[in-house]
Amino acid sequence: MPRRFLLTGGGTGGHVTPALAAAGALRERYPDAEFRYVGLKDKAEGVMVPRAGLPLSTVTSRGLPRPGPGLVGFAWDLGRGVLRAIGLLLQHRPDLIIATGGYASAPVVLANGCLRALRLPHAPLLVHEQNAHLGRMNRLAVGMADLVAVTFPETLAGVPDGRGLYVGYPVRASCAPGERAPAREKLGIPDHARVVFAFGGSQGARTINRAVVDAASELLTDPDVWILHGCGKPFGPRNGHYDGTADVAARIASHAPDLADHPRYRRFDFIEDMAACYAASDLVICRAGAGSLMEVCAQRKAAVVIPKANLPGDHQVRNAQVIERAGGCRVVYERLDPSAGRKAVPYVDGPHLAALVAELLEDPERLARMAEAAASLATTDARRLLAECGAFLLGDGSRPVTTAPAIVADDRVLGLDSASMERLAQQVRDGTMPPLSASEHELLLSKIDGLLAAESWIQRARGCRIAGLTGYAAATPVLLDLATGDLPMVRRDAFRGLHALGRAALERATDLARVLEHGLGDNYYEARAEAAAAVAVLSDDLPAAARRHLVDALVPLARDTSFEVRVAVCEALARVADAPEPVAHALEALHFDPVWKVRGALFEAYALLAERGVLSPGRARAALDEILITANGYLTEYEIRHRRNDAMRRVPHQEV
Amino acid sequence: MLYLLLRALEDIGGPAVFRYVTTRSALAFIFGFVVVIVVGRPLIHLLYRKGIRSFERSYGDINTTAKTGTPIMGGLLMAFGGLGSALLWCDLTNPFVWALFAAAVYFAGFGLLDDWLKIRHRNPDRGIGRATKLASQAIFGLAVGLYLAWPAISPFPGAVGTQLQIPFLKGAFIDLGFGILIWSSFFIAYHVNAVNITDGLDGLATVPAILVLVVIAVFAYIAGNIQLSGHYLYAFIPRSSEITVFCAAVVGAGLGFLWYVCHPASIFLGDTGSLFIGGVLGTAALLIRQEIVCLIAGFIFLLELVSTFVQEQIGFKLFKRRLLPRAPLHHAFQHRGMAESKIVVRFWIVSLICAAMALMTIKFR
Repeated sequence: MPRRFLLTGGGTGGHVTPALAAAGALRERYPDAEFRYVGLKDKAEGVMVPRAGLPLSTVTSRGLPRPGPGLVGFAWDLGRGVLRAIGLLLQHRPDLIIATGGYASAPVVLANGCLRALRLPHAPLLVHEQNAHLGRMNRLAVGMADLVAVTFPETLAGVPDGRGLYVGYPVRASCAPGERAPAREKLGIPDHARVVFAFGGSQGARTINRAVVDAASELLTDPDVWILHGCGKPFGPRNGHYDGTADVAARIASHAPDLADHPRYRRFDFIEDMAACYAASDLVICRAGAGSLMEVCAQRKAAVVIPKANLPGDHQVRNAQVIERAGGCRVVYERLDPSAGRKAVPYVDGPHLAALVAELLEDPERLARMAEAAASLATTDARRLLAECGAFLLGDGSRPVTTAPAIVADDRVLGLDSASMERLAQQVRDGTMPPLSASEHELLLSKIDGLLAAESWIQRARGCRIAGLTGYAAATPVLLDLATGDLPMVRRDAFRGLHALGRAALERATDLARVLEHGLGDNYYEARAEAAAAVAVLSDDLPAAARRHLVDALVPLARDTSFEVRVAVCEALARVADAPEPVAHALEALHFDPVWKVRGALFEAYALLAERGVLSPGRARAALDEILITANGYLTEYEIRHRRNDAMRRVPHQEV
Repeated sequence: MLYLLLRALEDIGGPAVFRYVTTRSALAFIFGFVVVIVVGRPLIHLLYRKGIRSFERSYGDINTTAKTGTPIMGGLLMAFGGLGSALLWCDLTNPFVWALFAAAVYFAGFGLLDDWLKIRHRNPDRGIGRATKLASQAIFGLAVGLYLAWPAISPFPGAVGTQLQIPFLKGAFIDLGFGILIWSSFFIAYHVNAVNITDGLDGLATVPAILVLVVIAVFAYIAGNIQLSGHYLYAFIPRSSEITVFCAAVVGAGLGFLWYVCHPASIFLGDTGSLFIGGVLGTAALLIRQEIVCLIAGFIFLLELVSTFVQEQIGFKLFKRRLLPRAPLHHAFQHRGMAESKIVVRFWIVSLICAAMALMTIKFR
């Protein structure tokens, strides 16, 4: 009886490719096997699976939304999907299910779990994880899987009871490197040309599309350079998805009109013949999804890789770093275009990319070395191993034995979420952690840029704080822009960031003075307070006229209803004032403030004013003497804890 | 159990004085207090030695001003004293007592599990998930609602079980019918969460909880006494005066716990304690049908929960800003620089006034 396999996984092409590769390998082993693919209609699998000649059954599912009303639609779609998948499983009775992750695989995995729980006929489950970091869907599937095949050895730690197995990333058999000459002939490219092939995955990537358009004019000044550019297009209805084709057309119209019908610039919506494009090219520009990267490696191509930052576990960056350490590619991080201000999206500077690409194209030997290094990483065994895993679960063979390569040493920034980034930046600033290395610093700045352009205001606010802690002076224009934006807590944290940047923010002094003054009039009290605190550190180097303006803005704030503002104003006035009036008068009103923290700040303010010679010592002393010193607060200190710390310090750590 | 024994002894000439709710309440109160005082110190040492402590997030020197490292799960102590005393002095055949025991054990158990998970993961965010907690509270609330509304199992006469009494108005009530199921779920969840949030400073939750229990005890005594309930025009709920004895036992245990938790605390309630207290408060108020009076008496809890709700759900979600300086309320005062002991005592004063107002509703109608 022929074996029946059910494949599932999708949402993006990165999940579909390995499933198709696995199908190919299983077909070699079981020539009469029957395959069925279960996925979503409007996603990558809807296009790729029929093209691969496999029957596709569709289900409904969606990605897990944030807690909120979206959960209802999610439950509805997933519930229907699971019921349909149960039907499909009972109808086709597969001998093995192979799930490659993505939310498209959720219905089948859950349906199989249901059948198992009900003691109904079900199939063994083989899961393949493509990225270094377990995806959400796969984390769920791992619990129900019989075997979990992983691409990166780091992932094994997340798989319990030895069910994990390192196999690598299965690339399609059709991915074997093609011949260059016929491919070039097919594409009409002369033999001596140097060809750059850029693509952003099946659905296109905005950063790559725009960077390629921006870099193209400069690259094409060299008459030997050809560019093949896959723009990508959304699979289903366009609702909100990035449309690469339209974006590239718009970018060309606005930035590089001469590209529109340039003979050596080829633009594709969807690349039908990837193999020819690969074979014809000398250098590839791509994203760092496991699928694209491994395919490039299998094709023996040198690459410039632009990873997408701040994905779960930073898996794209992690993938890219593995290849870069081996010498197979150059990594370019996404940055923020500071001139774009509030609407900034991550981008890669066109001229910068052009320079890097030109430099690499100049040196064919170096390209060859990179290509060799990349090819050495391509795990060509993965297809076979995956088929063996399948056979093992069918009871047709023994469990394959693999040795996972050593885990690449992590850098401290890789994989951090925004909260951990903030903690790290703070610790580095305080000196409780050693300073960041150059590559860590570069990655951190890229990740901060990602946060500053994030959808969620919480992330943007945190990006501002981290930018300040890291001393990221180039972000000043973005911070200045966010400080006048319409999200209260983002404005607050933009000022906090400027505060932490200190003098580094002063390059844009005129803008800065204007923004600070604007911030002092903010209708949100925390933003006012942080603006005043920023004035205290930044005012020293501002021109005298700007300082006078700031004093005028600060004086009425001494009567602010929020004590946080009054505290910050005390210090700011003490630093920014150049004459005793009207500052002394404003501070006098606070001598009996109901909140002792305000009165506490007054002491520092008067001392500063006297030291700076703004107030006479006699006047300052008289004021200090008048301030009410009763307080509702005091510091509790546990003497026993001091003694414990002292003792702990004296007794050395036991070396283990 | 002692109660049943002493009642049996009455037949062979034992004293009849233990029959009375007042006597047993006093004994339960004293007994609960003494048990906690006696068990307290060894239990604190045991918990500390077993690593049941609030923990540091960072390593190196411990903060000399913070209270990290203080044992948690103090609720165990309170539950032990309160339930132990109740076990001895309550009439264990009384259906109200069963309901209260069920609430106490259910919520203390959940709290215990939550505390244990947090300690095991060394992470205060890794306890039982928010949704699971709410669901567990709603489920218990539903069970209480059924107990009130379903004639087959309800110990209430007539429709009293589903009537929501309105204070300050003579004999006024709203009959909720089966709406009582929703109301009781909400009410239990409200109390459990409110006490949990209030439990942020040394003794901040304990004293207001004790005062609310005292108010409930008084109302239970009235409702369970046919003459008093007739005189004050409350619905007579037969056998409900036994709730007074139970409350007195928990109040005694609460006072004993205050002995250890008063600033600077030797032990924290933990989720074990705050869930236990919240569950008992909510259930007891539902059983004597005096929810609104209970809300007045526990006004501090209301303020704490509402301030948190306003800050997180309305402020952050809707306006994307802080609407209050900090939430919950006691944290706002801390932020202003008020010392812990001062905040705590002031909250006690306010809750004492609230309890007095709640008791006033007996006469002011």
